[in-house]
Amino acid sequence: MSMIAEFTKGIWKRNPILIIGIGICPTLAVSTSLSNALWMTLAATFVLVCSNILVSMVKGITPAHIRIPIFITIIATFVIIVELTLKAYQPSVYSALGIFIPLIVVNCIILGRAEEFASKNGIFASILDGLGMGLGFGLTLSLLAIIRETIGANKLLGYTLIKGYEPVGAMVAAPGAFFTLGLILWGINRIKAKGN
Amino acid sequence: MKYFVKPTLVLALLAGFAGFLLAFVNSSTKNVIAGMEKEKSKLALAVALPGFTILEEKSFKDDKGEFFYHTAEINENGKTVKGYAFTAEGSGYSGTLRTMVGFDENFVIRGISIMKQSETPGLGARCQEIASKYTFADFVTGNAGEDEIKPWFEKQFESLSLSKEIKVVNKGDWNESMKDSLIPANEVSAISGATVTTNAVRRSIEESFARMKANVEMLPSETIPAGEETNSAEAVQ
Repeated sequence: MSMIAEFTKGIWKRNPILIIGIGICPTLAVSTSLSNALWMTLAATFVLVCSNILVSMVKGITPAHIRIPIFITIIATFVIIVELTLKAYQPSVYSALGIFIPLIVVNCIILGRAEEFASKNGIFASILDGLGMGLGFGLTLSLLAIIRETIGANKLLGYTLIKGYEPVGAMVAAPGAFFTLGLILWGINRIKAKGN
Repeated sequence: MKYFVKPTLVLALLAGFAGFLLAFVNSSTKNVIAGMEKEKSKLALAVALPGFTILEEKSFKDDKGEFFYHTAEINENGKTVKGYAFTAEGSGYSGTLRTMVGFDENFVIRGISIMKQSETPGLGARCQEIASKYTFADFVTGNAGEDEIKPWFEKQFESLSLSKEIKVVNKGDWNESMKDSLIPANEVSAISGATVTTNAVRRSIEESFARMKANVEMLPSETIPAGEETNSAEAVQ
């Protein structure tokens, strides 16, 4: 696979949420508003790229039977760095995302990429893979967030869309997330089926 | 033997590196975070008792532990009005909710400020949300100006009475026009989808106020009998 393909595969062909089906939990949880989705994407992508780099660097000396503890140590380190940095310099983002920042540690996308890609490939390819996967994650998250925030809160980026319109509150609640993701997945599968 | 030595070494080395990295990040953000916490409680106090001069921090002990509160005063219409502020803590939907509450000598809430929450993003976490009065079209066309700095959830507690029961009703998200019907009834409108959070804030305020009322003498300034000890709870009524 060429280097460009390593980057672009995360957006569509191997989109972590829509195609591989990992990282669903944070997707459902933080897609309540577009600003949450964008900050989450930034945080998760930073952790993903950094952990991909480090996992790729230590792949030669990692004994196979303790690779998971090693990956998790690496991922957790970067998550704490993100957490402390956000807490110090973006406190409002930190309080809006709350528990989902520390929970990036258990985001399947990051461990999944460490296991499936970074532990088998070079540093440069791993960076591209991380960026691509992060972008794919971010685009899906943003799409969900835009749908949920506009219908569920009548807002976009915190600004009201139509004055005096009563929003469908269920869309920002958990059921709304499932409905929206379900419909998007249905659409994606239809498109894929047509392509074959 | 090799089965143990190499994995142990690798893991120890990696943990050491991680520890070094974290120590570095921690030491460079520690002061910023600590400074912000301090600033936050100062700011919360200013939000809870707007315009008041903070006098001193006091505390008392009861069977639930130590209780800290601030005393303050303000000059309104030529007379001195006393104010008090305390921090109320309670369990919300997914963690502790800490709220700074300021009220005056007539037990009317002057302001509250949510200092800590870990509620669900988009639902309970909206207790700290600042509602923009501008529309998205304003934002795109560049007409959006500066917004208020106070979350709407906190604003609806202003002017409520602590001597009566505060009721939680489901009338949708609060806006300025709901003031006229909510304040006389001593009601707050719950955050849509987060009645638990709203109730938790209300309950924590009421519980902490009850503790304070039982332990602190809070008399309107002009009715204090010189050198006489009275039970504050009855004296005010």
